[in-house]
Amino acid sequence: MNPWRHFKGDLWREKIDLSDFIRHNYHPFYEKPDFLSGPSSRTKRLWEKCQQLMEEERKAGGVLEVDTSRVAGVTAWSPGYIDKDNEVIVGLQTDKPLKRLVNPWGGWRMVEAACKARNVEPDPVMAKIFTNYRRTQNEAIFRIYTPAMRQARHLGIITGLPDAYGRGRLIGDYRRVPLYGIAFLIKEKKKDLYALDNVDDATIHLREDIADQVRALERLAEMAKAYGVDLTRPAENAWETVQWLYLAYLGAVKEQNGAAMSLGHNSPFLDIYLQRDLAAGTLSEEEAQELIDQLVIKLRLVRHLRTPEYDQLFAGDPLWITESVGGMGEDGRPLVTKTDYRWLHTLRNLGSAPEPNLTVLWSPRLPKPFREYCLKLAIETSTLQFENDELMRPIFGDDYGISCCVSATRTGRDMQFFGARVNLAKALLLAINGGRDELTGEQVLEVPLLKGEYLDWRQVWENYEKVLTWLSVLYSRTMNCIHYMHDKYNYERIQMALIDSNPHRHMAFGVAGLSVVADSLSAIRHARVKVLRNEHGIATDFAVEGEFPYFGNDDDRVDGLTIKVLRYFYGSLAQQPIYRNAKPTMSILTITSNVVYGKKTGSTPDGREAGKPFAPGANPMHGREHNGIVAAMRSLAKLPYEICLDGISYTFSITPRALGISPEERVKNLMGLVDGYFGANGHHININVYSRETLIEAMEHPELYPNLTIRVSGYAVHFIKLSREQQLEVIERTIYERM
Amino acid sequence: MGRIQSIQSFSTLDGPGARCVVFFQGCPVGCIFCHNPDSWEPQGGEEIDPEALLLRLERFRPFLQNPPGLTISGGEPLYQPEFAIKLAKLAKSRDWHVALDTSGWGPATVFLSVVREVDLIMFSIKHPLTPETLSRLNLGQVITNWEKLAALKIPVWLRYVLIKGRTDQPETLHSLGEWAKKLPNLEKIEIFPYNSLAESNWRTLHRDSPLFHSFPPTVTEEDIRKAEQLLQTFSGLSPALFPSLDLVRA
Repeated sequence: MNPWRHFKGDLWREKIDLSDFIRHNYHPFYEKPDFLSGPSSRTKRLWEKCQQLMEEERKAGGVLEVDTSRVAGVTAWSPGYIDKDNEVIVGLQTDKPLKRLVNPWGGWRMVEAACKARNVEPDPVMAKIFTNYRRTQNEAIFRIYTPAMRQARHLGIITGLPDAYGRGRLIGDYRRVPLYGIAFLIKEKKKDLYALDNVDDATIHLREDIADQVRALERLAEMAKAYGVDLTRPAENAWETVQWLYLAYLGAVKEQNGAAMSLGHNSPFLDIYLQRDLAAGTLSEEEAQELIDQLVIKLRLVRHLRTPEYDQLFAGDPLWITESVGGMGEDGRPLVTKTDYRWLHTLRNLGSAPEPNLTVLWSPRLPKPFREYCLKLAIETSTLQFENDELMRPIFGDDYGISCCVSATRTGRDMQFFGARVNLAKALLLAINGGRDELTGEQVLEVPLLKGEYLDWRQVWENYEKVLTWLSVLYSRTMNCIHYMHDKYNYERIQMALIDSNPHRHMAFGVAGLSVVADSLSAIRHARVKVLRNEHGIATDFAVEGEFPYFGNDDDRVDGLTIKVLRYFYGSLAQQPIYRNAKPTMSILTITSNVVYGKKTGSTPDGREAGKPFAPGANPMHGREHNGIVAAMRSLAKLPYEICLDGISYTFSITPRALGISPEERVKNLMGLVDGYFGANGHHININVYSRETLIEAMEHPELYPNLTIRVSGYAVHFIKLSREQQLEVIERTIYERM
Repeated sequence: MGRIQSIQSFSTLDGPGARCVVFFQGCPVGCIFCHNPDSWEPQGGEEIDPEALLLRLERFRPFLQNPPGLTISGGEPLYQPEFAIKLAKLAKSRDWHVALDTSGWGPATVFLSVVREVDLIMFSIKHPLTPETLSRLNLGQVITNWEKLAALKIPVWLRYVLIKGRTDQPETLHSLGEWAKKLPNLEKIEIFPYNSLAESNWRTLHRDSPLFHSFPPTVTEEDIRKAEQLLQTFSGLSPALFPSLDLVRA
């Protein structure tokens, strides 16, 4: 059967061009989702079994089983099944569901720590290989780190670095596998490989990459063959398309344990195939939904083995299998299809869950029924995030996905070097303390000592500029070391095989503690801040005299300072040489690590006590938004996206009552907020609708709330999987309510 | 110029739809269950002219439904009548739906001059029989102002705080029902529970309220429903006045 029967358009046939294929063949859908179907009986049976397994996993303390006998790889495992009779989409990371694999490419010490935490012994032969014969990413990076890099890292000035775990963030264009088949993809890669014949370092590096990718594609086909699937040819029907796409993704998560393993924006593509079979009468709506439900079940089962330190940073075992829905086409038609609804509908068919990390690319021009449906689900489940398509499309075009939490990336065209983040609040304390770390007293850099009892705005800012300049140099060099070695020792062959051979590269820098810095600078600028120093001259506390505006109240006196910091730091980063000529981007994002960062930071001039958590992402500090949600959104929306292309994460929480009395009113009011926020150029928003009482009760009685999902900075998480500390921080956050 | 305590940029609890609320500074009423006693002091808060205030509010307009709503609250807005009139006129001239949240304090002439300028009056009756037990309000003055509303074409919402042992007695609710019957333009009756959330706000100001010593029991949703039923049956008020009952039925 001709796999491309009924398809229109020409360009995509000769050269890989998904966006051309979609433009010519997708079916925008404008109506209400009355067509949606419940879970099939096969799905119900399969999901029930999976839920039992996940319950066992939870009871076992989070990890059900670890197999230390094999090294992670696309073909390392023979096929595994959950329940052959009911499993429509096949493929598991190992030979059993929820069995975790060992991935030593990132570093052997992490494998040891993760195994130890789970009371399993790493395989001695593997240990010998990865300590004696094969260098890992982690080992290689630490060999070339300078003393200054190590110091900034251990003091927590530069934090969460992907130097001991997979950097993730790459989105392979998994659609290429079903559309073209692997044989064609290999042919194209080989063309690229032989077209390059310079002998300079950069070219040879690239050629080695491509050669690796070809090998990875061959392995991928081999793995699929064991499941009885021939990936070398294009998919011919809806089932094959979903199955092909999943196996391509599965190849990636078998080999890579990157922090974020996002999926892209697949509904318009999948919908073309589902629609073709529905029209031909070879597929029913229930079967179409079954394919998506079962794909989502598989995604919910993906696991990696992590260390306890990693879990502290990124709580709740997240994968960031971010899948985008919605968005507008550049031709003015919405990219919303029936399959966008089918994806969202999995939250009802299977219950809400953090993965896949569903992200709505929002535009006020999306069909109204779709916007209403998304907001209704957001209110019901607190599992959706929204991003401003009108802001991203002009920069990224209309075929982009969200990588990790909030970061736009053109599917198959871009790759990212994930850069974690620097702690801007600690940097400010360095400026106040003559370049010494406020907790240890270690000298980190030289800046003039500040004179006098009170902080002088001009002196502090001059010092802060010096610290930020120094930090941008150190940070970018550290990133260069990490990604050079990551490429060399832990290269993501499968994902890169599904991205253009010489892609556009972003170096994704990040900052944390922004609102703490904003409020601190505001206090210094607009009030009087008295410094209390210890016997070594280190500021241990601050006494503020007078009032000052806080970030999050639509007050330019402090919002302007926030922007000033961002501009200065980004401006400085942008001047640094970057590995593989990557383009610098910046995020304001913390995941759940705002708790850990706060712990490692002394008292700050805004009145925040030492050790207390930061606000998540770009959020205003808890309880300081005195003028309510809209004023807070106004402040957030002022942050300049053009220099923060990696994303500006805002998490907002509101009680159902504060959003409105009736369900219809809530949707209407939330629509106003979302349209208002994005209309003002806000970038991203996590929407949580719950009451503090629910969270407190879930903390005390986790067994009653196994599926309570909430949105933290950039992803969703099962509330009960957070540590006590993180739970308390979430509870402390501003939840908009009023009596 | 006038004085405001604060601005709330998004509220669904202060009038129809989602709206902004401006809390005026200064209140001579001094309710013992007040939630923001820091709005009492006439010289506190921030001084601002109505034009500048409206410019601030305009920034919130795109987030609200059309027409955007503004509620003038306090404090007691009637304590700064000129300011309230100017703000209401200005906001209305720019298509805001303006509501006034008041205790009905003040001389009738002043009262009328302000309420005439708004689209909705939210009148908080503190106590229909003995307001002096809860505040410094004078019963006669409040009744006069309430009755004046009957002649206006402006819709009125009656708001009432239910405090166990103080405002929930059958005879009190009966009297409240009689008040309600007097206004043909009464559109809605909202009953709120008093729960002791106000206490910490008083403590930070080193103030004390007799309520904190009597520990009134918690008011539940059920209590509210009961009070609404009582009001309805006593006075034969239309069920349409109690939108929360609809919710329960639904």
